[in-house]
Amino acid sequence: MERLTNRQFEDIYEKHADAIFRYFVVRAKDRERALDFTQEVFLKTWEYSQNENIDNVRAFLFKVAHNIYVNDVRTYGRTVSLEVYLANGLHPESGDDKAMLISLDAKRILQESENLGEEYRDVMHLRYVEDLPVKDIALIVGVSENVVSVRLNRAKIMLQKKIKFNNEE
Amino acid sequence: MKNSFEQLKMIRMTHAEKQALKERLFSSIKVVPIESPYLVISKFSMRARSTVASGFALMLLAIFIQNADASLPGQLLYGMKRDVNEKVLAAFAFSPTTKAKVETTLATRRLEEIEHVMLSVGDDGISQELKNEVVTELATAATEHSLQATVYIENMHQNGDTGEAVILASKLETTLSIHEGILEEIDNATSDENYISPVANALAIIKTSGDMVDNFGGTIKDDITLDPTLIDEMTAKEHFEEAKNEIDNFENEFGVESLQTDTVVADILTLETQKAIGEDAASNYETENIADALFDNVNDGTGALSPENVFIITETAILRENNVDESTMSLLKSGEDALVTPVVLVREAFEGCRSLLVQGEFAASFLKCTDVIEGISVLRIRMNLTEKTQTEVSLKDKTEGVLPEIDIETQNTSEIKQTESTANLPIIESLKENKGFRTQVPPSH
Repeated sequence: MERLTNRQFEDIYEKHADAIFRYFVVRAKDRERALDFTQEVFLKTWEYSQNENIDNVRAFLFKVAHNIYVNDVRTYGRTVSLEVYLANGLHPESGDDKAMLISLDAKRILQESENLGEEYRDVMHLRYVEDLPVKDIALIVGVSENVVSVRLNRAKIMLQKKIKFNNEE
Repeated sequence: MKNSFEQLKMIRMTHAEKQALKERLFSSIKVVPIESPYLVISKFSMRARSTVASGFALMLLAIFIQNADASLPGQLLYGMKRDVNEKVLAAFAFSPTTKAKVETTLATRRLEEIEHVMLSVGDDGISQELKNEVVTELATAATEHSLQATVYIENMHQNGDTGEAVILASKLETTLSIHEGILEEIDNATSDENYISPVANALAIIKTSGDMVDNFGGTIKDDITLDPTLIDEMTAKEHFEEAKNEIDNFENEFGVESLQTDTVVADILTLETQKAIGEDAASNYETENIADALFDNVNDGTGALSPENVFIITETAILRENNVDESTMSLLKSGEDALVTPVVLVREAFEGCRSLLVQGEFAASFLKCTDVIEGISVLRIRMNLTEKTQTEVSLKDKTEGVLPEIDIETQNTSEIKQTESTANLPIIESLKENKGFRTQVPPSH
C-alpha cells in the first residue's frame, strides 16, 4: 500500500475506530481515556503511513494500541476496578447507545477474563471479540503463533471452568 | 460463551463521540495534496526523498570540503580550508604520531602556499604590501606547525616510538630544507635593487625553525647510533618495507618506470654529465677495473658511450665498498640537474638498507632506509616544483644568467610567465620523452 490519502485514512477510521476504542475501554475501564488512546492510535498510524507502507492496517492498529496501553501502564500504573466500571453499566454517560445494553453473560465473561491475567485476556479479546487470526495476534502482542494458540486454549479451559463453577454456585 | 463474546462487540463509541474524535483527528493531521501523475519524484516515499536530499547535501558538502582543501590564498574557499578543514583535521588527531603527521602536513601546505603566492606575482592584482603580509603570515604559520610537530615527535621518542619519530623528523627536516632551497631560488630571482622580496623575511623565519628541526632530527639519529638496540629487527624490516613503498609510490605517481633498475640513472644524465662522471670515476680508480676499461673503450672509440656503459662506470665508482670518492660524490651531488643526485642517493641508500638488514645491522639499516625516504621526499618536491615551474613561471634563466624583468611600477610581470625556464626544462623534457619516464603529465600537486 502506498502513502495513505485523507480519504483512505477516513475509511480506515470509520471501519476500525470502534474496535480500537473497545480494546482500550475494556482495559482502561475509562471512556475518556479510551477515547484519548484511540485518537493517539490513529494519529500515530497516520504519521507512520506518510513514510512507510502498512500492509495489514487492522493488525497494525492493534499493535499500536497494544504498545500505547503497555507504555501507559508502565508509566502511570493506573488500574481501575472492573467491578466499579461494570456497576456503572460500562457506559454511564451515553444512555442512548445500544453498546451499554450488553448481557449479564457478557459482563461476566469480561470480569472472568480480567481475572485470568493480562496475557490471557489480551489474546482472548483479540481472537474472540475482534476475530483477529492467530498470526496477527502473535504480531500484536509480540509472541510466537504457538504461544498465542497455547494461551488461547488455556484461557478457554480456565474460563469455562470458572463460569461453570460460578453457575454451580 | 461465544455469544457472550459476540455481545462484547457492541461496546463502541457513541455516534457523537465518534464524530467528535474524527473531527479532532482530522484537524490534527496535514492535508495530503493530490499527487501529480507527472511528478515522478512524488512516487518515492518521504524517506526515499529525504535520503536523496541528504545524500545530495552530503555530496555538495564533500565537494566544498575537497575544493577548500585545494584552495590557495586569495581564493574563496581558502578561509574554510584554514578555519574549518584544517582545524577538523587537527581535532581528530589523537596520538602524538597522528598529531605530528598533521602538523607536518600543515607546515608543508603553508610553504607551498608561499611559493604559489610568489610564483603568481603580478597577475593577481594584489598589492605588494598585502603580499608581504600574506607571505609573512604563511611563514610564521609554517614555523609554528613545524615546531609543534617537533614537540609531538619528541613525545613519540620519549614514549619509545623512536623508529617512527626518526621517520617523521626526517620528513619534516627534508620538507623544510627543500622548501628553504626553493624559497631561496625565488628570493634570488625576485631580488632587485628596487624590489624587496617578501620571501627574504619569510625565509629568515623558516630557516630558524629549519635549523631547530635539523638539530632535533640529528639528536634522535645520534641516539640510535649510540644505542642500536633502540631499533629491533621488526622495526627495521617495517622501515625497509616503508622505504620500498615510498619508491613504488613515487614511481607510480610520476610515471617513472623504476628507480631501482640500472637504466634510470644513466637515462636521466645528460651526455656531458655522463662523460664528466665517467672521467672522474675512472681517474679515481685503478685501471684494471671495469669502469676504467669501459671508459678507455669509450675514449679510444672502441666502445660506445651508451647510457648502459656510463651507468656501469658510475655505479662501479659509487658502489665499490665505502670508498666512494669525495670528488665523485660531490660531482654527483652538484650535477647539472637537481633530479639526478636524489635518484643516485636513493638507489645507494636503498641498496645499503637492504644489505645491512640482511647482515643484521638493524639500526644502521633503519637509518639508511630513512635516507631513502628522505631522498624520495626530495624527488617528489623537485618533480612537483618542476611541473609548477613549467606551467606557471620561469624563476631564473640560469643559462643566460639574466634575471627576469619585473616592472616594479605596474607589477606587470606577464613577461616572466612567457619565459620558459631553460634551466629546468632539459631534464624534464628528457624525462617525459623516452628516457625511462612515461610521457603523460603527472598529476598536479
